[in-house]
Amino acid sequence: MRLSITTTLSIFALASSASFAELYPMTDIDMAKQSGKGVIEVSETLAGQVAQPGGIDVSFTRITIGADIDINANINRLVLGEGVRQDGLDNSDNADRATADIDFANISLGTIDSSGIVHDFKIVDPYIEFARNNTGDLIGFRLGFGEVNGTMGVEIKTLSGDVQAVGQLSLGLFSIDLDSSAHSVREDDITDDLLGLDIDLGNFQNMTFTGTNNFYLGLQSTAINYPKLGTGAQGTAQSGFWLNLQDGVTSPGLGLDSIFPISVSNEHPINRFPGYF
Amino acid sequence: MNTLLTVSLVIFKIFMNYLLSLIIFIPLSTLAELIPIDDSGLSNVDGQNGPAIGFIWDDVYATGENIKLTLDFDSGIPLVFTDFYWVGHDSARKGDTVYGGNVGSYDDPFFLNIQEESITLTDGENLSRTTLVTAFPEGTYKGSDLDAGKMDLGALMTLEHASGNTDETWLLFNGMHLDGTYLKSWAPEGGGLAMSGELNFHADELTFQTATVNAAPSNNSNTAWQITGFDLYLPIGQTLYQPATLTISEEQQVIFEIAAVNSNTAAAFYAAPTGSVRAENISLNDWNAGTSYIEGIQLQHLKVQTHDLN
Repeated sequence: MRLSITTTLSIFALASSASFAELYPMTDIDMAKQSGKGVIEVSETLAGQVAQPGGIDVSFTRITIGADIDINANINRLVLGEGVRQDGLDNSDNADRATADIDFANISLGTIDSSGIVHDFKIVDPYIEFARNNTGDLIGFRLGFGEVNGTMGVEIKTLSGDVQAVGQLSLGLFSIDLDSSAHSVREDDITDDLLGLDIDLGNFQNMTFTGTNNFYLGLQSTAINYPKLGTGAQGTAQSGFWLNLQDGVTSPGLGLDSIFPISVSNEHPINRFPGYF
Repeated sequence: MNTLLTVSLVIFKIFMNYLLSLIIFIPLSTLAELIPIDDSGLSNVDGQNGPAIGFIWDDVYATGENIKLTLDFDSGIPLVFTDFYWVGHDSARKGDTVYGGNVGSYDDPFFLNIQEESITLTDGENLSRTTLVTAFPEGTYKGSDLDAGKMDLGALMTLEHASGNTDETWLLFNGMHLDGTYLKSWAPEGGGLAMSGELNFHADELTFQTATVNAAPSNNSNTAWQITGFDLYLPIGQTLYQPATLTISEEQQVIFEIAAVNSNTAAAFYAAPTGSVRAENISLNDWNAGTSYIEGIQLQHLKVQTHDLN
């Protein structure tokens, strides 16, 4: 016996829905009132509107999702661009160069306090933006966020990007703000502008974001100036993976570990329940 | 054998009427031939846990070149999706001779079933829940057995720029499978839809390519971004102690939430598998971005609520 059937499957829902909801027919008038157009926005920046390294023409298309994302998460390891150096250098001379563009360990978004209350890391209006050259070929893209707030714990082993953070060094009765920054490919130190210290990026394990904007992670085959969004500073994104984080970032609770050589650090924020570290 | 009802559909010829997306997962309308299975064949099929309907897609192929989906936003820049296609055989590519492929086997069918689970939490509380389970086969793709279940998927997106130019973007998934992916769903108190699941996605090669219209974009072009060896494993909530819910607010906005872990559920949560993503290699023509990966992803809470952009 042969049967013929017409089957409709929805793979997103994996065809399910054990729900027992009542469905009501919708009139054409009601249907016409429905619109999701405000949730997604597509915007363009035409070639020539953002000056580019080497004077090349680059146009941009950005797709923004109108969303508030409250997240609490832990990630053991984030490694981007491993095994290839955009500057062509390798470790054949035993220079102990970093093996990835970005290498972060023990990332936590949000915190869990001593009462077991979960505090989220908050993201507003994420977007993805594509960069195309004058023949329409994709030469890079970035994932960014309209604004972020909250606490992030991280152990930075290697960084490619523009990062600025105010390190809050506690010295007994008073404290010093260390305006520190890194602006390079495969950086492992952050430089303090006040004292000229080269601080191991891995020592800044507690980052607080307050109204941080113009925060993005890009991947591009050539250096690109992305359109500037918000008030946060922004440099040229270099070839490879590149992080821009230069606005509203503090690293609180730094303590003085040693004077000769001078070294400061803070502790990773707690984002697990007691007994599960 | 736990199976009370198992139907295996053998020698399928399926023509898809439409296929809307891949990761956004939306296919499909199918016309299928059903052939009865004898007692011997039926006894070889295990519906996993409890009553189940198991089935396989055999020699499946599809195209959807007449499909068109237009998203028109406030910005006035429409996104037009067209030329969806899906072929079932790993060696097939768009434009080549289409070969059928398999999804599932007698040993590991795609299945629907009803499943009951229970757990005892740290404080001694017992939880149980009955769910509808829909799942891709767990063992269709077996290492080097390339004919067993991998498929190609693709879509073409056309972007009509404000400048008047039009660009095309191809998104191609070659040699992909979703083995082990499942979704459990149930109706929670208070309405909406509750769910938990795992997304287990592999593609031998992902291709993302843009070009101006009439530039004849094709597979393996020099202007294509390619990711080889892409794997994604992501648990999405947990049936008993961390359900994910999908609801609509009074303002007609979508709310997706994965419940927060608490001290009573932490032991089970931290013992569960963690998510991971890996791209073995990312390249653009001769330019290479190396290997990238994320390991040990644990979502302790997630709430996504849409809002209208100004």
